[in-house]
Amino acid sequence: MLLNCLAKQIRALQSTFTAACRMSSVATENAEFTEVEEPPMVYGGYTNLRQAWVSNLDTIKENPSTIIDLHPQVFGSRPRIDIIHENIVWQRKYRYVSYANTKVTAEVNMSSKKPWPQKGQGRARHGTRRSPLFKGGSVIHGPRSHTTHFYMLPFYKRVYGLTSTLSVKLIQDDLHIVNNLDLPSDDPSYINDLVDSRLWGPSVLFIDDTDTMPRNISLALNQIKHMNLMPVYGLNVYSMLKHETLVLTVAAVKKIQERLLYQLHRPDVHQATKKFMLNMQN
Amino acid sequence: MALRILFKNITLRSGMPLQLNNLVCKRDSSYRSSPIAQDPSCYAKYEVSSSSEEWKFVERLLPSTLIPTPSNRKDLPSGWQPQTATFGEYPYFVHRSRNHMLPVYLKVSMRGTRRITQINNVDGNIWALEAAIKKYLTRVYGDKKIIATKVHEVCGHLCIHGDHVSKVKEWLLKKGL
Repeated sequence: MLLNCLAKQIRALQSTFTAACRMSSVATENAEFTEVEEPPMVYGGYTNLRQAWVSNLDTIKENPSTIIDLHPQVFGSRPRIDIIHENIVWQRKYRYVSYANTKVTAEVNMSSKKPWPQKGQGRARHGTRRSPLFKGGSVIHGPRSHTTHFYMLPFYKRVYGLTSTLSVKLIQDDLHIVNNLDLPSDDPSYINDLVDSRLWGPSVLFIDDTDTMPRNISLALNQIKHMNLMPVYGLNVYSMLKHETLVLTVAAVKKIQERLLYQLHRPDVHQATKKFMLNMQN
Repeated sequence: MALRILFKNITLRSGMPLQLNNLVCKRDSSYRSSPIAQDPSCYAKYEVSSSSEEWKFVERLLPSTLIPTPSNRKDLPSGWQPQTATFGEYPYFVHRSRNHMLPVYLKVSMRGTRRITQINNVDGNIWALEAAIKKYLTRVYGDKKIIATKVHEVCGHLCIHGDHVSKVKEWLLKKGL
């Protein structure tokens, strides 16, 4: 159904858009790659189609076989650094609950007796030692637990956060695309060697379009704490920035493009930008 | 709720005691007591078709998942104009918004005292667009106004100090953008 929708969308888009989601095969034995076809004009003649090699994980040495075309509205958008920052702040805050707590006068565990008579002592008049004027007394305007910091970022800020971060990652050469996540062994040293030899940085985030990952990579990454597996529906700005390298499978790329292009071109925007309710079904 | 008592296979004769076990309680307008739905053919005549010709009429009713491409007519009563400029015609390009409208907005801040015209989705050489718009606006206003601009090259935003939304829109439409 979704694929159908995408096909329809792509057909309905202007001809300049149709180059998206197309994989062009380049023969590996053709060393010079002379017959690379001219990339079609996409999204204007100024913002070109983005392209990336599709490499593999089953050998330590990189063996890229094909080139995948990436849609410029998803992987080549103009990065809004401010929106990326807003996403990060939102992701830190929506799950944060402050447990800082202070007591008001009634809650302080102290005698409620009048400390000294009202008159005759030459001292200031006081009714209780619990008052904020006394040491060990209450606190005025102090924090009260549990303060939730939950809020919802506007929908299209979340969408643009994803496209901006993907574009930034791609242009910084921190986004790599592999054909699948199949490893020859479940030994963690294999994936460590692979990541070291390809200079993928210590922390890597692998993204696939399903949440049932292949056995070998699951067992290997279970031992390595700074490399993680994630399904497409878990893709988020915070994790993409937390990990130095983002590795997507081809299926994940297609799914991400499909979903984000749908959100960027959907006509019923009012549905998506409705006020957030806790019991809402997406 | 109406409560109806049906006598099951019994005709009440005088002198015969009421046998409550034989009484069936029936509640009208209740979900459970309503008749069980029959096969759809009992209610309406229909035939199942799998022809693609007829499916077109169903597709016409389904909500669209994409904003449709607008017509190329230039005489629409709303005054909306299609984008006619092609890439390469100018060193810059202004993409329409997802609704095919011009991305020119008025940003009002400082309690209404600061008005800034913002052009989004600028592609290509944004500095050339800035120079062209500056030239146009100075020609319109002469020495009466200082046209101050701010260029955000990374995001493709061009901000002009003052409320020039209609002038800028007019100029962009004249250029076919």
